This record gives sequence, structure tokens and C-alpha cells, in this order.
Amino acid sequence: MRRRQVLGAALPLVFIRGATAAPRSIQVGIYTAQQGEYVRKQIIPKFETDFDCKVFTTEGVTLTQIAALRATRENPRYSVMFMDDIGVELSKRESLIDPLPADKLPNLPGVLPRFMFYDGYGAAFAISTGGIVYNPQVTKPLASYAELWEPRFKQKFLMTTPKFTQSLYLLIAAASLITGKPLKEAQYEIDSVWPKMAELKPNVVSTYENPSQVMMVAQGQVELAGIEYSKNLFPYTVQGAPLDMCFPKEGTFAGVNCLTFVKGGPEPDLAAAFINRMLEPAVQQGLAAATLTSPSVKGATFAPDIAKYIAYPESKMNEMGLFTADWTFINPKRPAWLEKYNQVFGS
Amino acid sequence: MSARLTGGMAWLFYPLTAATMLFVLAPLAVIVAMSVSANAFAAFPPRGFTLAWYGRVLADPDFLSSLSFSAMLAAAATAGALLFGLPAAFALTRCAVPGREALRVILLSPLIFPVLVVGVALLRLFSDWNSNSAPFNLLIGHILVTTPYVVRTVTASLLLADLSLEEAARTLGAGWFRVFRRVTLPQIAPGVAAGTLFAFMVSFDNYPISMWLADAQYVPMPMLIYRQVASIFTPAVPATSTLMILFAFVVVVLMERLAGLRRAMAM
Repeated sequence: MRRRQVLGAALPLVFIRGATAAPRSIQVGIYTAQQGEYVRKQIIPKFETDFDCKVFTTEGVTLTQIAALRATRENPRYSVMFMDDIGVELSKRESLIDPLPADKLPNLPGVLPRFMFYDGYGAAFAISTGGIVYNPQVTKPLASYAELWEPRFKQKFLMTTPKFTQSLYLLIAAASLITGKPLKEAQYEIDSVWPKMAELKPNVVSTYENPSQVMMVAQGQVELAGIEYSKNLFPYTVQGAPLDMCFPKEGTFAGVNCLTFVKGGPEPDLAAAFINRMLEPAVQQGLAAATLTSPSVKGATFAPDIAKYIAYPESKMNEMGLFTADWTFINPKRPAWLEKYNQVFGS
Repeated sequence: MSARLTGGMAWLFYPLTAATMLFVLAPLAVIVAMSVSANAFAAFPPRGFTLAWYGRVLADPDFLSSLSFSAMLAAAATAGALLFGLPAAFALTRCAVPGREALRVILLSPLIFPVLVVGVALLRLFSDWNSNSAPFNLLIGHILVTTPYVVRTVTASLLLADLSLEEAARTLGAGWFRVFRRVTLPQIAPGVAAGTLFAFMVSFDNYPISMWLADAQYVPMPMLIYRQVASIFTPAVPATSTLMILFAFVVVVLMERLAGLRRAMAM
């Protein structure tokens, strides 16, 4: 009987514990996977101690983060939201976020200008590079995206699902091949790529949604996969999987993780302090080394075993032709392109 | 007379049943096989044999905290579902409630509604309420999606229960609670047990609601597995999944022993 009473008393306690918070608290939408774990375990506990506050986090990806902001628009629950640059444009357009409060962010001037987005509505804090995954024991790295279309890769290419942002990069690469223009200009010519994409169909064995499926390349079930982000691939490479990435000559796509300031979110000063902490050089350095992504600030240095996996410093970004897309142009057209993608590869 | 199939029917149905079993169990077998792979990455077919991944999972504080939180959440959600579902089932079968059919449809609607949409709607609701407690929000969400299972199975049991036994008990002077406890409950026990099992497992396995309402401090098991898959897909992930399968199996066996689940499923 006593045991039952104790259990009965304990259960409600567990379910109200979350309600008894520190005096100040903010809700932050972070990413999943290794980056989320690093933010939760390495960055937030120290921030909570330094500011005597509580940081509640939820984990998601850009689309779910935006959906959460839309659902809580009338009564904002989040103060800071992590999202890709593609989401910053959408969120700004829908008035879900405010410009970053530059006057409260002493670390903001340290951010490389190329990683400030949409008139100061988003600042990058981690950048991964988008390219093609291959098995170095079996395949040579692609020199050009044009090789993806070659018959030797018939039924050997595992393509990213059209639902993911990376699929748009393949369209931009195709536009670059057709027009001969660099990625920056080719992105405005995507409407012309569909016959070219139809020619790729014989090489596409399937599409994939989960980054872990790149292991099919390591196991020899396919030869190439992508376009994939380096942050999803290099953790396998570091662990010894026969996987690597190539960045063909047309350019390297940037997967940009940004910090945004939620419109009307609770505790704006604490939110600003958190964003500022994320941009602190030491935090940036640690995050980059742990997740194999490039920092967005100037002046970080890395040991060779980390440096080889990341596009850093800025001179290396320029050498790789690191490219960020114009989402203001692309986003409104994306639903039509998704439909077209499905028509070409679904038929 | 034997109920066993013979002749041509047996030739048709036994292979069909075996194929169905294979279809249902094959994905689980693949998961179990991957969990004992000696390879550093999850792969099928597995290479080598090791139980080391289980040791790693069982020593992982994230796994232990997720498992205990999920089990507690599922137990509390099941209790809530019984608390609301039992009276609702009684009202639907035994009372002349106006608009009973409409009520039945409303009560069972979470079974039909896309759970993902229910999750977003709840996120909005809790935001309007300023309810930032993830465990509380999760509990409400899970009760919402598990209650229809209790209503459905208990309603079926009540329709089959012999009303004349209850009338006889009342005629002999038993009060309503005594009639419920000594006459009605034993008759509907399999339905209650089935509803309890469904509610527990639906809550324990729920991802679509949890992904909107959980925070990073309270992580139910399905979210932990998703997080691990998104991070790096080692055999620790299938090992975690296998432990979940074992947990579900133990719950089913316990329910069978305690309440005769097979009778309930046969209803």
C-alpha cells in the first residue's frame, strides 16, 4: 500500500517539475543530431550558470522550427530559433522574426559579412558544405557535376529527396551546366533545367531522406549520393567509414545554420545574450571542432585533423567557391519546382 | 469437432499465414540482426557478432532517462485514458445521451485525425495557455490520443456484457459501485485490458505528438532514436530499438497473464 502511495505521489511531481523554472527562462529551438547535443550539453549549462536562468530547448529542423513559430505566432513561446538561411527569408517575409538586436550583440561584428542574412534578420553560426558523397576505395572524386550524367553511373546515384533544400542545389548545378554560368548566376535559370534533369533519371537508383542512408555508398550498394551536407557525412569518415565528399569545379554549396530573434518572444534581453554567446569566438571554435562545421566568425584556428574537413578560413571558402543561394528568388518558386521534380522522377 | 483447417483450405491458408507472419516480423528481425553487428556502423547483413552495443546502450544515461520518462509518461497517459475513457464508454452504451452517435464520433475522432496535425494544434493551444511544462503538455497530448482506444475497446466489451446479471445484482440489493466492481468489471475486464495495452503502447511509441511538445530535457524514446539516427547510425540504434521491442513484448505478456488479453483480442 505504501509503495502505491509513494508512486502515486511521485508521478504528478514528475509532470509538474518542468513548470517550476528558474526566475528567468527562454525557449530556444535548436537543431537535432550532434550539433544539438553539443549546444545542450556544452553551451547551455554554462550560459545558465552565467546568467542565472533556464534555457528550455526543443530540437527540430528548419521546416518544423518555422511551423512552431507559425503555431505560436499570437503568443510567442520561443525567444531564439535556429534555422537555415532558407528559413530566415521565409520567417522574415511572414513577420515571425525581428532583426537581430545589433546593439545588444557585441560579438556580431566578428561575424563574416557573407554570413549576415536578409538585412540583419539572421546571422550564421555554423556552415557545412554541400557536395557529392563517394567511396574513395571505389570511385574517383567528380571533377564536374556533368559526370553525374555519365552512363557509368547508371542506377548508381542515390539522390536527396526533393523535399530537402539540398535538392535545389542539384537544380542549380544543372542550370550551371546548361548555361555555363557560375552558380551565382545559374540559380536564376532553374526553369530551364527539367529536360536535363530528365536525362539524369536513368542514373538515379532512388531518393533518400535520412542522411544515414549515405552508408549505402560505403557498402557498395550505390556509388554516389547527394547533394549532402558535410556535417552529415564527415562524422562517418572520422569513424573510419570509406566515405568522402567531393566538391566539383562548378562550386560548393553552403548549408548555413542561422540564429534568429523571435518577434515578440519572451525575455528579449536574455535571448540577445544567448545569441551573443553563440557567436563568442571560443564557443564558435568548440562547436566547429565538435561538429565539423565552419564557424561564421573571423579569427578561429584549427588543428590540421579538423581543418581538412571544414571550409575555413575565408580564403578557403573562396577557393572552394562557397555559394549561398538567393532564397528571396527561390522560395516563392519552390512549390512549383517540387511538383516538377516529382513529375520527372516519379513517372 | 476440431477447429483445425484441413485439406485444400489448409494448403491455402497456412502458407498465407506464414507469409503474413514473415511480412510482419522480417523488419523486426533485421533490426535485431543489425544490433549485434561487430561493425562500427549499422549495416545489413551484419558483420561479426557482439553484444557490446547493448552494454553501451544500457550504460547510456540518455537512454536510461528516456526509457524511464517514456514508461512514466505512458503509464500516466494510460491512467488518464482510463479515467476519461471508461465513463465515456459507459455513457455511450448505457445512457440515453442526446446526440450519442455524434458524441461517439467526436470521442473517436483522434483515431482518424492526422496525429501530426493534432500535435501542431496542441502546440498552439499550450502556447495560448502559456503552458511551458513539456511533461504536462506531453501528458495531455498523449491522453488525447490514447483515450479513444480505451473508449473503443470498453464500448465493445460493454455491448457484449450480460445486462441481466447486473439487474439481478441490483434486485438483490447491491449498490451501483458494488455491481460495477463485482459484476460489470469482470465481464468487461478483457476490453479494459486491451484498451490499457493499446493506450500504453500508443503513448510509449508516439512520435508525431511528442515532436511538437517535448523539449530537450524530457525526451521520449522514439525521439531519442530519431536523434541517434540523425546523428550517426551505429548498431547502438538498432540495439535501442530491440530493447524497445523487448519492452513491448514483456508488457503484452504481462497483460495476457493479468487480464487474459487473448480473450479481449478475440472479441
